[in-house]
Amino acid sequence: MARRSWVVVLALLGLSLLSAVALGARQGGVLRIRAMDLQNIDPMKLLGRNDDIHVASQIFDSLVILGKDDFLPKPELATSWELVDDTTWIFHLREGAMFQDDNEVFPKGQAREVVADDVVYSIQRAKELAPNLNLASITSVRAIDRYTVEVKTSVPEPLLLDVNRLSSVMIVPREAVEKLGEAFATRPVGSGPFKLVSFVPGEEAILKRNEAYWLPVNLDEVHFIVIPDPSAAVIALEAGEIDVIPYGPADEGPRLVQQGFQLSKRGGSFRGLGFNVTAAPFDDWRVREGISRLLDVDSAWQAVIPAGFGERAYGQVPPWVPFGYDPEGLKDLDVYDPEGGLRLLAEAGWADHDGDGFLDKDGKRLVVEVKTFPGAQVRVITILVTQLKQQGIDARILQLDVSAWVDDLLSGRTTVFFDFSYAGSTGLYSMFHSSMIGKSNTHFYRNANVDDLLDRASRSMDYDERSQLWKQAQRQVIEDRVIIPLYFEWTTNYVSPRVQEWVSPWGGLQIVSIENNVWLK
Amino acid sequence: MSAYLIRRLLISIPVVLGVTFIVFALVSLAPGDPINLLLASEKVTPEMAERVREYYGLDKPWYSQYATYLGHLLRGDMGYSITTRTPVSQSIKRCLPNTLQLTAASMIVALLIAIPVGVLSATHRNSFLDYVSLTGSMLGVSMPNFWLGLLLLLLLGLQFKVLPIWGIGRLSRGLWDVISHLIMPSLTLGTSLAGLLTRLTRSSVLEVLSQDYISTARAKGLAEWAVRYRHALRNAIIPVLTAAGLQFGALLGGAVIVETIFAWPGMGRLAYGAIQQRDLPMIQGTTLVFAICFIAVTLLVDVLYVFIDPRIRYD
Amino acid sequence: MTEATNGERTERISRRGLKALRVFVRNRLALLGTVMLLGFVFCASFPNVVAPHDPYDMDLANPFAPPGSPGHLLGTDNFGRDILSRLIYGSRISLTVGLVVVGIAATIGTTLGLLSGYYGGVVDILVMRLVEVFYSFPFLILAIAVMAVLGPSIYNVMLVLGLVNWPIYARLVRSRVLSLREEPFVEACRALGAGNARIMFRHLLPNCLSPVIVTAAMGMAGAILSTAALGFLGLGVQPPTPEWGTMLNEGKDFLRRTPHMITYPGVAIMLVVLSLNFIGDGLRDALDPRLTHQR
Repeated sequence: MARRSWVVVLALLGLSLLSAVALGARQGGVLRIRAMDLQNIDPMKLLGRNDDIHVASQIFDSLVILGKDDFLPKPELATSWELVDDTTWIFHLREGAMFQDDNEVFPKGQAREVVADDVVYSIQRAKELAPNLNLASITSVRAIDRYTVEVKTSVPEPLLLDVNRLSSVMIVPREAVEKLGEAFATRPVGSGPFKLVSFVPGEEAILKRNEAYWLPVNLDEVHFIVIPDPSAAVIALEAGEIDVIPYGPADEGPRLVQQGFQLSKRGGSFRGLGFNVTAAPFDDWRVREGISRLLDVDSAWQAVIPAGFGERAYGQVPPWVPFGYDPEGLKDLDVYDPEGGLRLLAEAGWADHDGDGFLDKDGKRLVVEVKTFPGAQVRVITILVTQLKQQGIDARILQLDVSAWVDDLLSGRTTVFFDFSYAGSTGLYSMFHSSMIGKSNTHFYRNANVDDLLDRASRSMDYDERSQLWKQAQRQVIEDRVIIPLYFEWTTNYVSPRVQEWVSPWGGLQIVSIENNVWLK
Repeated sequence: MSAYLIRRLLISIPVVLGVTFIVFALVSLAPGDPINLLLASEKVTPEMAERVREYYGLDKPWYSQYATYLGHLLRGDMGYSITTRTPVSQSIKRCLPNTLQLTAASMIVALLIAIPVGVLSATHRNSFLDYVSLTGSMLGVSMPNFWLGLLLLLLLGLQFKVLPIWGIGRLSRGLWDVISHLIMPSLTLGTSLAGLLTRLTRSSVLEVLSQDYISTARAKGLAEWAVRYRHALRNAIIPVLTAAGLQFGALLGGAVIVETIFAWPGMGRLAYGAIQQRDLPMIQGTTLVFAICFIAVTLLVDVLYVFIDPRIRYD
Repeated sequence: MTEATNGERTERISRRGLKALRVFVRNRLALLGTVMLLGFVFCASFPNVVAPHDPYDMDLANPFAPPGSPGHLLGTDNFGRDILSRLIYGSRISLTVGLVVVGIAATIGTTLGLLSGYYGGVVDILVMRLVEVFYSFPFLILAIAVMAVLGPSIYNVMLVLGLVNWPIYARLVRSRVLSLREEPFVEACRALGAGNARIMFRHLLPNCLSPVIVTAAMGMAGAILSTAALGFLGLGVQPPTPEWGTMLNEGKDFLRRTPHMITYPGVAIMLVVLSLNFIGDGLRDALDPRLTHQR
């Protein structure tokens, strides 16, 4: 009797094991992701807040996502797209993709398909509400049939599917937006791989699997947990209370890796020193170039950024923008030559005339005041400022809060400033084109040649041509010494060893996509 | 007394309005602009920025914005946050109870430490115990909050795993959930408050013990404990109470660091974030709430004076 | 006649002063506090004599040297700078900030508190509403606005912190005065024809000093810690200038790797506050005749 029951138990065990294998052993589990803050997850009101974007991109799908390795557009709701002519795009939509049901808009079993009208509505709503997205050149969007959308632009837009452009427009159902009103920001409904269970701004967002998603979803639930302090977040990761820290502090990296945590790198930011080239005495090329030659950038950034968390920058275009990244073509412009630097400064009239140990001209000291906001870069700048002091330049740091820093940069109340950008494929244009003065060209740099090169590049549909034009423009900018490039810092995610197939967010966060499907060991 | 209370409450209205007016003026004059922050996030066309400005009424001069704000406020509308685009009242309704919870707990911790330790070190002046309490108080005020907070997290959260690392507890998950989440943040805040309160208790008790009526009480043959606790402490408590009231007020908005480290969803972080973003409606809303809370606390303290020390009169 | 009275009075005052001094010196802790504070003041005045290294000198090849390393008694920071030397040079700014801030706050606060408690009525209402305005006001807004109007500098830091911290003194003094003004000795003074100012500053003030002294000593620590918090507004002391609050800030990122970076500035602040407390206690005992014959 007893033996027979054992047999039954064993048989049952075997069966359940088999079914587990059949379903995929990757099914199940709760993934907990750290957030700095959560406020509002209406996809048109995200305004570039990373954590809200991460949550929204689980609930919603976009037309395309950006590939995990090459950052090139990959299918999501759009299965394919083509350029009819330089300014007309056609998108073919996935058939059978459904909005989520079991909510106050679509009762259980009464969901409907995502169709071309939804795409039209969403792009128009984004144009209206999302000032952080660059959709200005889109002149018309219309549904050709149930599964086909046509988008027309006023000028050729080779990068229309990039971050902050169409790949950042998430598709929303019109009836949900209209029915929920304000509440759409905290109880949104979309067509993404996870449904929202609860959302408490400033605390947490709980999501569960969307069983009807067009891809199988491995995870049962995804929790986004607000832990604002980076050190506290690292402690929570080590204690096993969270699984992923997107955008973790680089300082902790080497120690966490040693403890067995995975380090996931993708994209990052450019960091450098920028000059306001209209502000005396930095309107003189010799002063800018002279200062640049006094700086031993290599030893400065290596003393702060752990090995493997960044790369020396020789220009502004980062490695993940393949058509402008050009370290070999720029290296010769990076010169550490304090004597030559001092000579250039002396030519411009700056020397220690009064013997107080500081360079001066007409009785006034050469003051280099670097405006920045707080962060790890302050440490790098501290080293650079100390180097300048040792060469007799009255160099200082001025840390401001981000708002005041931006304000000073835009209005030109700067001389030297910490220069940084996430700007990938539009970076050169927004930072150095004269039409962006007063907006994002905080260098007040105006060079007709550079303008022309950048204009041609932004309209060119040919990859090699665009690449050539960008490299030429970038070299000109560095020759004119508008910036002193310092380093690229990787965006690093610290991931618990049990998490598989994690892809660091870039624009959106992909937990389930055609390229990956996160699961837990 | 009641006439005094009514007068105080009436006077509070212009105080609250005054605070909001000054804040409005200062924020408008200070550098930084929420729309510029958007602009900095690359390639926003000026027309778009202008439209957003118009939408929030930011294109008008600040005094006319203030008039509009007051008008809305009188109708009970605190406006919308510029950065998150959600109603200000919603965020405050969510955060205020959390803040009151943490503030009250920290104050209890502080008073539980400060009063007994302060009295003991006064009555055992220059003893070993007095020196220990002195050193402890110095540690409390000299140790930055983030330091003690992270040490507690490392010890109790990571090493021994006895307390939850982040967030606020919910009664629906039981009383222990609420208390366990409160322990580390309220200890961090409470010990730094306790430093000043302990020293004030000690010096105040010392002073009272030397006064004539205490000698009289002793001479009348009252037991020493009765002398100390009934007569001395009662009179010594006034400066402690005063300082505690002020610290309570300061804690409402000033616990940003502790709220950040322990992921406590409170008013401090809300206000701090708003200031960083120059989110005027949110700054106004939080300031308004702080002003009202603070006025309530000082009023309460003033009323308590009368009960503790019958010599005090307000007329 | 008048000359005689004056002479008598000076003699009485100096006798009282001498007695106070004797009481103060007899208090060993107060003496210890004074010696400690003088030590700090010496460091602040002649850092170049005391400090073993240049506080700005970086040695990027030798960061995070532990305390007791050759040449670096308290170790080095993340840039290989000598922590002891930075503490010594930093004492100048930190002590100045602490003393000036507490000085401004205690002076404003005590004066307003005296007026408010003594006169009561409209004066009390006005002063206390001002306290409420200052307390409910977001301190960061004030700091940002001051920076915008007056420009970033360490003097403005002291101004802002002084302006923000006075209410506690006002409330403390007022609460004492509220009960003191009903005491018979105030009546007696008034009957003897003493003016309001004399009653307030000669008779009431000394009786209110004890909570003020305690708060002021503790307030030093608060002021130094606040400079660190203001650094990011462009108001604080900016790196690479050595200052204790900024050193705490810089040490925060290395709390787990090299705790000594943050421990020593913390200890320095604590020692200053400790010495001020010793001195404060001694002063109070010396100035308050009732306490002395208690022992």
